[in-house]
Amino acid sequence: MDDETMDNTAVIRMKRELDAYLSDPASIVTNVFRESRPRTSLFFQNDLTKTPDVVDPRRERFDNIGSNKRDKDEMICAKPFTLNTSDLEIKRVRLDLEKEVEILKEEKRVLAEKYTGLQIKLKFVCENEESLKEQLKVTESDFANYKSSQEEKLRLGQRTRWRLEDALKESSRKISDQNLKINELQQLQSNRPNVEAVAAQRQLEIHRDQLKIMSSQIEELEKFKDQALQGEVKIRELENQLAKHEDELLITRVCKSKLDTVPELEKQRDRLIEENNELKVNERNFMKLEEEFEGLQKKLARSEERVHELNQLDIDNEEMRQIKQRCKLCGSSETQSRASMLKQISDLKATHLKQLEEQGELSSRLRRSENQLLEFQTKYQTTQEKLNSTNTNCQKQADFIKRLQKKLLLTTKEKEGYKRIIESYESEVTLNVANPGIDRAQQLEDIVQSYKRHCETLETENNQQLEQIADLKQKCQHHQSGDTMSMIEIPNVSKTSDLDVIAELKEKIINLETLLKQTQTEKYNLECIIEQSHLQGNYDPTKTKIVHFTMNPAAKAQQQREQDLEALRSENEKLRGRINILENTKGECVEDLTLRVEEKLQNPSPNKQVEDMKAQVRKEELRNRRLMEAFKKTSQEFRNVCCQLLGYKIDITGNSQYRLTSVYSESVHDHLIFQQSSAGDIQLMDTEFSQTVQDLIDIYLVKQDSVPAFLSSVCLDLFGRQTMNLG
Amino acid sequence: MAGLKTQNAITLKGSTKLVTEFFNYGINSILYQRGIYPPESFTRVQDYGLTLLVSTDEQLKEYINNVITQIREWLMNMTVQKLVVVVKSVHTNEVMERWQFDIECDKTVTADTKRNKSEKEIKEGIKSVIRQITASVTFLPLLETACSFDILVYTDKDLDVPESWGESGPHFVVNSEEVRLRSFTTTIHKVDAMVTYKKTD
Repeated sequence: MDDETMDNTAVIRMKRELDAYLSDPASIVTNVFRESRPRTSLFFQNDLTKTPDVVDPRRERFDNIGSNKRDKDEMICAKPFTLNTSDLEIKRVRLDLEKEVEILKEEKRVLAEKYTGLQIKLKFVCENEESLKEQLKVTESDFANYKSSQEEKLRLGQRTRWRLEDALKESSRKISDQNLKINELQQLQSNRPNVEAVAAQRQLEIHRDQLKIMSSQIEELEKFKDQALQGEVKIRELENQLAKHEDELLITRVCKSKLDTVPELEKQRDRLIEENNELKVNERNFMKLEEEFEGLQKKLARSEERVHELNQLDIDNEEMRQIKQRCKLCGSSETQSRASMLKQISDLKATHLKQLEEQGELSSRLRRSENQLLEFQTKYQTTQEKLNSTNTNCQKQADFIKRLQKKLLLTTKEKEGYKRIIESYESEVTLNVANPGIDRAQQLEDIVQSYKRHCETLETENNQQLEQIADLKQKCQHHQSGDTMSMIEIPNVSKTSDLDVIAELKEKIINLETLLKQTQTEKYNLECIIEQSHLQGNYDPTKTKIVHFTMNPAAKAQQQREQDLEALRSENEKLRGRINILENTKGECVEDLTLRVEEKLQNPSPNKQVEDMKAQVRKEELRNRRLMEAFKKTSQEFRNVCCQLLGYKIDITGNSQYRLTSVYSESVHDHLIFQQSSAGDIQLMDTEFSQTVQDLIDIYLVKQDSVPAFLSSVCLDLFGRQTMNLG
Repeated sequence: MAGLKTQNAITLKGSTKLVTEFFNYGINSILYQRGIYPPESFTRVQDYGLTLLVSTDEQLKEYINNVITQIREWLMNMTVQKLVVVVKSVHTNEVMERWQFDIECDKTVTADTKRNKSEKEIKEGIKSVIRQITASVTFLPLLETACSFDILVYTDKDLDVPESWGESGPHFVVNSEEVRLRSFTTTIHKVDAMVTYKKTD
């Protein structure tokens, strides 16, 4: 029983150990496996170095465990009925573990290869690093050398500078010493008392100080002078620019003045056009006058004829006077009585009158004869025409007669021929057949007779016409003789006067010709002027207009020029401002000159602003005053007109109360007061006067509610009273 | 062979085209000859058997085109009487020269009317006028100041003009001398050329 218990306890212990082993190594293996897998290649370097050490003890452990296991198996085999299942499991696990071990071995080999590769790389990198380090060392040493050399140079420079500064100080000291020595020498030379020397020294020191100050001032002054010179140069430039601007301004003024002359020129042009029109009108008038002149010339000719006649009458009169004088002489010689003289005079007057009548008759006869002459001439012409026509008719008729005679001959021959034919027929044909031939012959004979008659009548007509022609010829001859007679008579009468007239007319013609030439030259000149004006581009503004493209190059150029001018003006203004500033500062240095100028231009001086404002205020006040005056005037007029038209003077007493005083009121206190309510209604207020017209109030205001009617009635009432009073 | 046949009849449209073409070349010639625009801004063109100079300045070209298109319309309407190229001093605004082209329109002509005159004959007339414009430099005084130019158009009084056009004065030359140049006619439009310039003392 004890063995069994021992065995049992041993078995149990072994089982426990196995369990422990089973639970433990599996976990170890899996852990190792798990840990080795996810690691990166970098960590492998370390792990690879370690893993063999780690794996080997494990193997030993495994081997140990295996041997233990075998021992135990042997022991277990003694008791197979208990350990069958576990043995199988162990075998399986072992196989798995062996497989895993193989895999791990392969991995280890791969990793070892990688490790060697990496080690080679590392070596290469290390070599590179070393070479680079060497290079770095070299460059560092170079840099240190360079730095040291530079520092040495710097030090040398500094030393030279110090040396130079020292030398400068020494030289200045020397100068001052020399100055002192000079002063001392001067003092020695002067041999003055020490006090004076001290004083002089002090003065000298003061002077030196002053000198220093002065020298510094001189330097400053030199600087200022330079600045001033620069400023002067600038000023000159500006002055030049200013002069240019002034010139340009002059040019623009000239342009302006020329532009101002343009309206005058236009006026002149208009005047010229008017003059031209007037000239045209004058030309027309001249033509009319010429016509009138011709008419008047004709009139003149007529009147001259009359004058000539009057002259003749005067001559007759003179003759009559001579006769009268002779008669008078006769009367004086015979000493006839006055009555007889008077009689004679009356007789003479009568005879004079008769003679005048005769003269009149003669003149009328002359005219008549002239008229007759004209008539005769016309008649003569007509008769001549008739004669010609009759002559032609005669010729025609003669031709006709000849033709007829020829026809007659032909017909007679025909007749004879027919007669012969008839005779032959008669001889050949029987009596019965001859009848139509006889009829025909008779007919033909009739025709011949009619022809003969016709010829006769024509001959008679011809004769008649010949007679007529003869008559006409006679008449013509008579007329011609008459004409020649009258022609001979008339020239005799008016030969002398005509010559004068002709001479006058010739003169006139000459004058007219000269006038004509003058007018022709004038016309030519006018045509030339018209042509010239046409060439110059003149036109009739009533029919034609001139248009152009508004954005034409000339306009554009002008616009551009104006812009340039404006820019120049503004620049000029700026430059002036600049000059002013420069003048005000009197050569002092001015900073931000352009800024100040622009400021000045943008903000004109406050005084100017105030003045502008004042001027504006003044203007506004003046306007206000004028408006008030105008308003007062119009309101006064309006009130006056209202008063005159409606008969009430309306005054505003305040609080929308209106006082109405009639023009017909008996006293100044007779007035009505109306008040306008806020609603716009008008109400009559109680006054002394309103109480006197209570009846009218009742009628018109209370009953009718009409203020105008009430006022009219009051007005009429007062008017009635006044007229009553007047009456 | 039909294509080679020269045109012997001219219509209103054709006449207008020829006249506007003449104005374009004439204005350009004046601007070049009188030195109103720099000579390097002109390019050579062959027409009428002449070498003509035409501006390449874009603004100027646009302006002349605007004027010419308007004139084309007015030539078709027969409402234009004169076209004047005024040369003005930029500084003083004084008129220095005045190139006047009188246009006589035959108002009986309609769009369908055809007149017998060959294009060659008309172009010969135009050529002689342009030659005279070119030759006139010899007698015209030198323009000493910077000058600009304007184109005036004399039209019928009752004509409505576009908004871009405005009424202007006649721009007479003060103290002037006048020279009549040649003229040409298309039988529908007759163009008389003349130049007025400021007399030099």
